[in-house]
Amino acid sequence: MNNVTKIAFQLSIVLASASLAAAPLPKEGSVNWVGCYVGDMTLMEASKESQFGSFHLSGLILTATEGALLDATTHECIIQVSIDATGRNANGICVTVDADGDKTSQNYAGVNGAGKWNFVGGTGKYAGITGGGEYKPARKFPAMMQQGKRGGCNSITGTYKLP
Amino acid sequence: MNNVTRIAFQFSIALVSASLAAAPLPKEGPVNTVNCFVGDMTSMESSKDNQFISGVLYGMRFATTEGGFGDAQTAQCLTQAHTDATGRNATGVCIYADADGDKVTVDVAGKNGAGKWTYTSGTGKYAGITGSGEYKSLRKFPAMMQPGKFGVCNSATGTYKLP
Repeated sequence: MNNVTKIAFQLSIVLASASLAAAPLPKEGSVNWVGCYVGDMTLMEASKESQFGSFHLSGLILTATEGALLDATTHECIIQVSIDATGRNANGICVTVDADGDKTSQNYAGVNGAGKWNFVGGTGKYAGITGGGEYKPARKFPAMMQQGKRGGCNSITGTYKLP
Repeated sequence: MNNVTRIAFQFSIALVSASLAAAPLPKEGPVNTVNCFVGDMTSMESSKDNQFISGVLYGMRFATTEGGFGDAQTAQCLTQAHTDATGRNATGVCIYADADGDKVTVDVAGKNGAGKWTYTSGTGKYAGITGSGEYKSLRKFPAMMQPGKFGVCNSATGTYKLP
């Protein structure tokens, strides 16, 4: 390959990459992620049936179809948990960030590991995003080996809409 | 459902559950898992082409077929990597634990996010395990939002054998 051919070839790769990178997100669609997270747990208890905890979790999202909304993003979550005779009630918020630095925020609320979520904000390509759905544990994982660590993977489904 | 029928039904469920729980592992088979890790890393560098990192990773492993070998395990890994002009060379050891508390130990070595793994020991139902395979990074994740955190998901394939 001579120099001109080489430069033309490299330029075609750059242009193809740019057009792929600029491909807009579909304005609406379905959500089907697995989100895995690990974090530190702080727990206090008044009794076995009256416990309160908070978690700061860091994690990764994989979508069922590679390249779908929020595929290959990292996330941070702050979750509060209250455990009483009815079960483990959790609520919290997660922020995802993609390779462009664009973010979304989601609220989560559930009982005993399963519940509902909804988008509450977005930046960049996600500005104005709405939608939501349900989440549940992808598996029942044993406790982490190190005390105080918390980890798991959730399957998260639903829909989204962009302005 | 009357009380006798209900008790008989519950008893049959308990028997089925017990027989499922006691089902022995196949003596050999394929390994096909997804592993996601998050941890804290420490780094030092003498130049951009001579960087060293080490850290503790915590994670989850699930089999691509639910219930497959290695499904629903938590992990703890000690890992170190050296980045030079040729790329990032990483080595480490991971311990995986299942819901029974049984563990397997895995040696890992690779370059630029892909490499080989080998079972080096096991406890409980995994005592005497041997086997090996390959791993590679799934997706290209952006940096975690929290400074010092590192996250990655790998796919691991290979085979195992029990005595």
